[in-house]
Amino acid sequence: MDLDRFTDLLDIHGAELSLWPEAERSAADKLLAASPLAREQQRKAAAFDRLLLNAALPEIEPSDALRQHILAQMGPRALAQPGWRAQIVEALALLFPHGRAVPQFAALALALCIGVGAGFANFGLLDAQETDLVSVQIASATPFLSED
Amino acid sequence: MFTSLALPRLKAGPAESMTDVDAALMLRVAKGDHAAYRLLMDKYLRHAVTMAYRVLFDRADAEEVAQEAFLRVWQHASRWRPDGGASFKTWLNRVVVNLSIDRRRKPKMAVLDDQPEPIDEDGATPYEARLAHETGDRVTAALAKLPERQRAAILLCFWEGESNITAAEALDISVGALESLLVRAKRALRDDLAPMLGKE
Repeated sequence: MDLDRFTDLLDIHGAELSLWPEAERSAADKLLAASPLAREQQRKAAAFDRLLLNAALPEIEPSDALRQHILAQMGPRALAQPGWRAQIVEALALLFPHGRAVPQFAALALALCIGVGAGFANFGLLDAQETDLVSVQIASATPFLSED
Repeated sequence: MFTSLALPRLKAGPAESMTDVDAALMLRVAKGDHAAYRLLMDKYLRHAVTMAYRVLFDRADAEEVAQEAFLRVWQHASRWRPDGGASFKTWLNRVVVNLSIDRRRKPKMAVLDDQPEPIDEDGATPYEARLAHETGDRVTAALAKLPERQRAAILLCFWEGESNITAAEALDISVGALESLLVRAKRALRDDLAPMLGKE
C-alpha cells in the first residue's frame, strides 16, 4: 500500500483502523510502522473526524401539519383475509387449543360416523323389489352357494 | 467489497431489540394497522425530516419528502422483510435519500439562521454546547456546498453509520463509485474547514 492509497482509505473509512476492512488493515499497519508521513496523515484524519463528530448538525422538528397530512394519507385498508383453509384451521385451533392431533382425530371420527350413518340410511331406503333383484344377482354370480 | 462500517457513528444506532420492535410494527402496518403506523411515524418522522433536510437544505422540500416516504411505508409495508438484512431505519434512509436526490434541487446557501435547531448535547457544558453549535454551523455550511450525491454519501456513511455496501445500494451506485464520492466529499469538507482545523 502506498501513501496515496492510504490517504484515500482514510477518507473512505476514517482514521480508526479497527473500522477498516480486514484486508486493508494489515497493509496499513505496515505502512504506518514504516512511514512518518503516513502517521501524520492519520493524525490529521483523526482530528478531522473529531471535528465532524463534534459538530451539532441541524435537527428538524416536523410540523403538526406534516403529521396530520401523513395520517390523512393513510386511507382505510381492508385487513388481508385468510383463505378458507386457513379459516378452518383457525376455527379448529380455537375449538381444540391443545394441539393438532385432537382435531385430526375428531375429523376422522366424524368422517367414520357420517360414513356408517349414510350406509345404514341407504340400506333402509332399498325397497323389497330392489332387495330381490340384488339377491338374484348375487345368486347368479355365486352358483356354488345355491342349495340344490 | 467492504462489509465493515465505513466510519464511526455520530449516534448509536437502534438497539437490536428496537429493530425487532420496528419489524413487528411493520408487520402490523402491512396488515393495515393504523396504530402501528402512527407509532412508527412518531418514532421516525423527525429522523426522516432531518435526513431529508440535510440533503436538500430546504424545510418545505424536506417535509414533502418525509410525507412521501411515509406514504411509501404505508403502501409498501407488505414488501418489506425483516429478514432481508436491512433494518427499518436503513430502509427508511434509503427511501428518504432517493426521494431527496430525485427532487434535484440545488442546495441553498446561507439558510442556517431560519430553520435548523441544534441537536441535544448530553451533559455538555454551556461552552461546549456553544462550541458544538458554532462548529455545527460551519460544518453545515460546508455540507451545503457539496453536490447532493456527495452529501448523501457522507451523511449515510459518516453520520448514519451505514456500511459502504448499504449506502451504495441506497444511492443505486457501485461500492467503488460510493467510495469515490466519499473521498471527494471528505476532501471538499477538509478544504472548506481548513481554518478550523488549523486551530487544533
